[in-house]
Amino acid sequence: MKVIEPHIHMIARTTQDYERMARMHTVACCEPAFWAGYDRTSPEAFYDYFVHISEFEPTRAAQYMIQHYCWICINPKEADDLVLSREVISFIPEFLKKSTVLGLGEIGLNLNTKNEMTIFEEQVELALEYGQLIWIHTPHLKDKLKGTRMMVEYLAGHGGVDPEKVTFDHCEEHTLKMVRDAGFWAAMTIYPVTKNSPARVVDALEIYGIDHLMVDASGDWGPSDPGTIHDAIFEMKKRGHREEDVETVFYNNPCFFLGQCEKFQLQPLQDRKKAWNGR
Amino acid sequence: MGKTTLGMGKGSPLDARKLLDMHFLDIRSALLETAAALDRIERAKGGKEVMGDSRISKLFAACRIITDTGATDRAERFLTLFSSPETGPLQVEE
Repeated sequence: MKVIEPHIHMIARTTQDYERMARMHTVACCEPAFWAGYDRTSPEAFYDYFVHISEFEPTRAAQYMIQHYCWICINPKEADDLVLSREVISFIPEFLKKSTVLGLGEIGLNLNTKNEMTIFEEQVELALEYGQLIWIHTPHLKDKLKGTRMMVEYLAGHGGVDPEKVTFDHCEEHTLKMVRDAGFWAAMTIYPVTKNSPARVVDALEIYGIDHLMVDASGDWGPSDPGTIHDAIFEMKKRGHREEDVETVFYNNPCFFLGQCEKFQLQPLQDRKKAWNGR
Repeated sequence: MGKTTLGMGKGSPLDARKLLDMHFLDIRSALLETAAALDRIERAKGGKEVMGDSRISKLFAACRIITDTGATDRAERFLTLFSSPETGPLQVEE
């Protein structure tokens, strides 16, 4: 079975992780732009970072037959600085032209501040201007519920945003329903301590069904493991779910969402209606 | 044995007994770790005082959610308990 990892920060991982992912049948991965663990010191640092994830990582991944795609943006954790953010936003269009860039992401909120929301809105407008997909980071822990609601309500009331072209990532039990009810895609991130476990991800699939849902492992510089997406696959199989449904969650669904960008090369193994059991 | 016709969006294909068999030791282990961690905190210097910390109160409130019988939204209520309060229209923080 082929697997697509929709959200992982490979810049923080070793080449050995690409090898492990390839051995676990990962055929593509997507790297949203994010915080590096420290605040970058200049817009130029972001420029170099964007070059890294749009040019270097695809070559490293290709050695292991993995297609590497990325998302470009000023991440929410550094978006509170309006001047810096706008300087970074000024050169984002240059990167949107690159062959492996899928859209704007992971934009969103961190502490739900006014400045973060301003930059979120400006990046949404940039995505609309350039006809791009949007990948959204939702805040962690106590800030998640409020931040997710702020962004869902903003986008739902915007009038110009097609929810099919937007994914809210890092959803959990208390945010999943509002995201899906508004018509957006939702992704669940398996991450020790602050996000989901493989078992809770499969619980959500059993409660809500498999349409408009993705799962990611979110390997980054923190305590995390790209292998956890495969733990969720094992959990789903262990609970007796159909092979076709497992394949839809971990391969077809990323193809359905990401394939809305013509640069994404992989094709789903069945059409959406059939994969989603008629939905 | 233990399998039902349920699937994605319709609950687990496994029945409750089978799921309990599958998860019992994991649940026992998680609760034991919680009990031991609370013991560790209370045993330590200043333990009695810290047991009045609002975070401990929230953990105890979460324990009460866990022990609700007849509920199937424990995880959602657990996470909501630990979320920032939001009442009325959303206020953007300065």
